[in-house]
Amino acid sequence: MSTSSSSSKKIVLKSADNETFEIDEIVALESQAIKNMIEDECADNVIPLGNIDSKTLSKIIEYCKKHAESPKKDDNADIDEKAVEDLKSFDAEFAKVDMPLIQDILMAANFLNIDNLIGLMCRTIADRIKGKTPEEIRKILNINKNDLLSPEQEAKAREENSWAFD
Amino acid sequence: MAEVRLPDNVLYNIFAFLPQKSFLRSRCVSKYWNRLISDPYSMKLRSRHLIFPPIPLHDLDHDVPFDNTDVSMINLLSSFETLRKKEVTIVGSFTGVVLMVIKDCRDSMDMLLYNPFTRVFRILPFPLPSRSPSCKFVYGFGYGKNPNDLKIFRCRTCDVTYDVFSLKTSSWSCSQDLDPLVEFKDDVGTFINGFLYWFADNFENIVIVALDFEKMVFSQMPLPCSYKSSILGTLSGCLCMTTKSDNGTGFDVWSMKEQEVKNIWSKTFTICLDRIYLRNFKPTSILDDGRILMTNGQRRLLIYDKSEDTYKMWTVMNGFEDLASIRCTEYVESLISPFNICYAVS
Repeated sequence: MSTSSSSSKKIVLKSADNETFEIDEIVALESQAIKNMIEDECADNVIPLGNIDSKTLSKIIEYCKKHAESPKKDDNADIDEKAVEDLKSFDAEFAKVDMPLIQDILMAANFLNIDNLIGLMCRTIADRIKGKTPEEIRKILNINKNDLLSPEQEAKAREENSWAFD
Repeated sequence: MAEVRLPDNVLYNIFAFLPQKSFLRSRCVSKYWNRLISDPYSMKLRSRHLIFPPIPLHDLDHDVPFDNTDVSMINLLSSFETLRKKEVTIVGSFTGVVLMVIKDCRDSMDMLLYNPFTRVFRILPFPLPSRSPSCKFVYGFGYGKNPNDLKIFRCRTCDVTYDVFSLKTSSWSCSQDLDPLVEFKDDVGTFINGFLYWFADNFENIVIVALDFEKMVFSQMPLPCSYKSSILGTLSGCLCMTTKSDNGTGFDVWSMKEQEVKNIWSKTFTICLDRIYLRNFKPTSILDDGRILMTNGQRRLLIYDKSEDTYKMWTVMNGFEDLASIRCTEYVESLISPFNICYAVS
């Protein structure tokens, strides 16, 4: 059972492939889902994450660590320009991974409810598919071809938004 | 690699980051994507735009960061360029469909509903005479109790004729006994909560006239402050108006709250324009979220943001002959067709 929290308190996360990660509670709190578990006192010493593998989880922890360390944007406090720039370039570097890993991180971030990370991954995917043809998008995202539009549906979509297909 | 199906909320989030063209083309990726993109919910996450004259129409994306002063953020909507029209009056918009009246070089007028996102437009029948060069027209766009019953109001001031177009029945009707006995100061009414509002001169004072869209009757109310460089608009769902500040270095914005049956006005905030190069700017449109469009009448546009007390400014291209009274309207990106807008408003 979790009792009162202090800054030095540790949380242990366990991945689907049974690897454990010990992190500061403050890092774990970047996840709204874990935060809720801790506040509701339903977090045991070890939090099992059965649907996240260790490769994805270590990336997520890397992200949360960096973001937990950075000064938060606050209405009153002066925002340190350098820290904001630093975080921006960290995010840009962080997103330079292959598409399967991006999708895994996105699914995990969605499960753990880490807003900033969801936004970063969605923006990354949008950047990689924009300007691409539907066929290229299917390839990039590995979308099943069983779900293709019928020729009639495709013609309708093209007709309704003809300017976008010029 | 196994297929990952991203959950709806995540896909919506990705769509929200796509530029317009890519977003619309993505309908052809799969049946599933087509269904999500055609869902009105995915449009709610897309951005809001400002659209303003002259032709070619100017379009400004709200999501462009406030500190970006790049002129390129004003995009021209090219589909009207070929129409070679002279003058456009933007009346209003609902669910992403903009109502406008376009006058060509022979003073012949067309009224049309236009979706700037899908670029689909529908020309509405315009009651005769549509060609009267010296006659001033006054317009309004709104609804009474039922949002599905959208109506367009038109007054021909030269012979005081009032016409109302119902989008539900797609027909005009003439209202004989509607005369508010005033001279309209604005050519476009501000719509909010079932009423259209204009400044008007009742031959004694400047007042605000209100048209009740449900009952189709006019009423008048006094101004809360003096009529100096004043425009009407809405602010957080309330009617509001601007007036020049007493000390002359900016504008006060007053807004009206309904309390029981009485309307209570109060001064909500002041826009301070105390720098020399801001002196000639006057408000021309108020957006409900507290942004105010201003111009100096000389190819300079400025948007003041109340929540941040900041502004950004651009120089616009040639063609703004009558910038002093330029009026913009806000629209959301939507897939709603101008041909069935009535079924989409709620």
